[in-house]
Amino acid sequence: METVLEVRGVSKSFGGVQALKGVNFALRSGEVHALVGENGAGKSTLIKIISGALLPDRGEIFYLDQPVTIDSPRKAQEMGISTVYQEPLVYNELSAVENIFLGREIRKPWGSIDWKAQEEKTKALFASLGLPYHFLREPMGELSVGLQQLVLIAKALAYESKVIIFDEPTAILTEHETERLFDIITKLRMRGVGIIYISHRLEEIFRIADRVTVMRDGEVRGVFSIGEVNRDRIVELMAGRLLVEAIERKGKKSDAPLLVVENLSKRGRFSDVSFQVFPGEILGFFGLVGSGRTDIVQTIFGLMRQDSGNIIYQGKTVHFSSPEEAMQSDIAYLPEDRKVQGLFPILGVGYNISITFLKEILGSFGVVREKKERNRGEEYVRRLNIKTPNLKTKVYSLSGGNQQKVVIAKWLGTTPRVLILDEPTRGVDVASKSEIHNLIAHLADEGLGIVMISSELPEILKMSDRIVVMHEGKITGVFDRAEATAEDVIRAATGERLISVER
Amino acid sequence: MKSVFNQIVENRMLFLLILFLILFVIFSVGVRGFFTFYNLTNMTQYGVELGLLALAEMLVILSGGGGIDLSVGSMLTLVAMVIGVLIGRAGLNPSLSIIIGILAGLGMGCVNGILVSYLRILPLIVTLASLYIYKSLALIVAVDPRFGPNPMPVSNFPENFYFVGQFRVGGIPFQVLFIFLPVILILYFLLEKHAFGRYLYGVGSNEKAALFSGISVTRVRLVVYTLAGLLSALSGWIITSRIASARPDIGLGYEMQAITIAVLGGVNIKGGEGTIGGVVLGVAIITLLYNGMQLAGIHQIWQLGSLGLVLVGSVFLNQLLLARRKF
Repeated sequence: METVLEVRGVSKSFGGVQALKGVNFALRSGEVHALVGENGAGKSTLIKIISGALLPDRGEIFYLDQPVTIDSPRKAQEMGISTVYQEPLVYNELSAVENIFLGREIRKPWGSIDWKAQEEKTKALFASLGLPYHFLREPMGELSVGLQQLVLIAKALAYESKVIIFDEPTAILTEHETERLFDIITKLRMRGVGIIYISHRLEEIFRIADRVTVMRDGEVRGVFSIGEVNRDRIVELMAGRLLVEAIERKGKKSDAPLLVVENLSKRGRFSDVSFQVFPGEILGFFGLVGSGRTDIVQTIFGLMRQDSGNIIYQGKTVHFSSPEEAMQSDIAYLPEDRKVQGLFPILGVGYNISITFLKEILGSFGVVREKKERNRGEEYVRRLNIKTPNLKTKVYSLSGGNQQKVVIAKWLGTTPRVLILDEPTRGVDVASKSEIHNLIAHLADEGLGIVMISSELPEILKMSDRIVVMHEGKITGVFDRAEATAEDVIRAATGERLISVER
Repeated sequence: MKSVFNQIVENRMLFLLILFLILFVIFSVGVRGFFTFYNLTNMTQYGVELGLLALAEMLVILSGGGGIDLSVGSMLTLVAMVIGVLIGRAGLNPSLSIIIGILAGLGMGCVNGILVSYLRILPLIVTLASLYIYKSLALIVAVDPRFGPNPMPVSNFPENFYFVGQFRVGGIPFQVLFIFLPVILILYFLLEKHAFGRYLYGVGSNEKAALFSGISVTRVRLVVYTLAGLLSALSGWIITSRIASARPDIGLGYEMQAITIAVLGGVNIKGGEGTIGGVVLGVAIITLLYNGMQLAGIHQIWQLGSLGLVLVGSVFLNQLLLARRKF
């Protein structure tokens, strides 16, 4: 088998962060080459470089043995490199046929679009893959995600692609759709298409891949034929010798739980989830995006309602129907998307901090006591070391780290007993990150019950007293800090059921 | 010098203030009879009716989520007709009639608010529908069965009904001193000093973050649409008293002028940005313009065109200055 695409010594950095360090990667025609690694390992950056969305800082790319510069996704597609993303990018109002031929329509001699030829060609493409094609004229928006993916695969074939990249294609597919996709991938492989397959589901990789490349920290840690490697070895390489020193803690966890979640289920989101949060502990929640971790904490915070199961807070069963009610019971939730959910970017720092505890600083007739507001605001700016000219400065002009500190300040202001942190350090610089970590540890020492969701394994291992791992809406592992290893956590997050500590 | 220039460009209030002063000087120098105590006090009464509606639009637009109220003119009309019919045809006590009329305005605003916030229908659609419904109701209310099936204006009011629209205190029109100024002060208090203002700007600038911060987005929106109904009702009462007649076509076209003034005053049509001072200045500029043009002998048919010109001209000028500053 010949090599269709080769990447040699590619490096890429963003700001001060080196996302790829001299990566080599080769794809043969007719092989399914899996790419695995934890979040932040560099998979997406590599894929973006191959598909023309990013340019490398250093290194070369060879396509069909020719050195090439891929400077736009369109160029990649025209060369024959197509990408099928997890959530297909399609024009919802247009039909499948129109989506496939958009921008390169088949035309009649006098310039009008030859609809018939387009449709015939699409049918032929679908038939060659052994697929039904009754839906070709319907708007894409009305098709299931699985069918949309098929259309994009057909589009890739219409461009006569020699490389097709699948970026977590099965994450939102049903079982039946997944089987069909595997069938198609097998057919594509037999036609000599080189396939890069990204997935967090290791069992899938052992089913359909020929080779696997493992990445960690922006480097390739190993390339194997699928026959000469096992699951444990891959997990070991993904985790590396992760030397994470646990953060120092002074406080002692109390014995009576603060928050108990019992058999919580919500259709399509999570099922039968049970865990407890104790005062003075940090409970880490690890799992991939879409594993249901955010849905669970949003249910606790009154943003969603469970189908069944109970939430017991301080010994009483509670149903918060809005964040307002959850806040009245001293529960705080720092959401994962600070710009959309956490902040009022066009308003001032002081406003953003005080909005959650405004009720506490009201005088008669509901007047905001501005002096008190200013004092509280200044107190948090000092305590969290927020770098801002003053309290009136609009939040959008601050750096990511300082913005995040503002969101933390706004929730500390409510003096919570349970503090839920959803990705507390995402997009935050290294210095602020460590400040935030110290603060979280300090808050737990003071007796708060902290739930910390994170996609970053080192963060989870550093901060957590206990770790809950989720996979596809279910808890697959609960670990005490002392016995948790990076490998075990990754295993549970990729779907192995490893509940070692039941509480 | 540089910093003064920057201030003017960045601060829309200052920009509007200067625009106001320029117009004021031009009319004082160029138009006979403009700069007299009588004219200056007299013209303020014309700003009140449109001004109340502009404040209503400001509140609704500030609340975001595509907030707009196209029904203010119709609410004003229906309130005017309710008050007129109760006093003029049913012979009810004027005070009681006015209270009923104002409650009707609150109710109409509240219905808009419920449709927008609880049933989640787009404000443009809700208030477009209620524009026609309230307008039609006003026509129905105006029908006097004694004189056939056609809507009729009401003009037989007792003398004591005219105080709000026609009386003066120390030369200043009653409605300016005792309704418009208090309303401005109360709204200033609500928006700048009270917790409600904080919630309103929060909901308007980022609805999702407001929800995640424990603010009841639905309640805030319900309140602003209800307040818009109240302000429209006040305007309907004043106008009926001033012209001594309740006409079923009285509020025609006011909604668009009110929206225009709010936008001229610096209210961001996307919500969350805008101040009461800016809108009051917007009202002042338009009142000045209408009055000055009238005194200069320019026919009324030019009024709406000039409103449009001021809007587009001021926004354009602001952008031009902003663009120049970048170099």
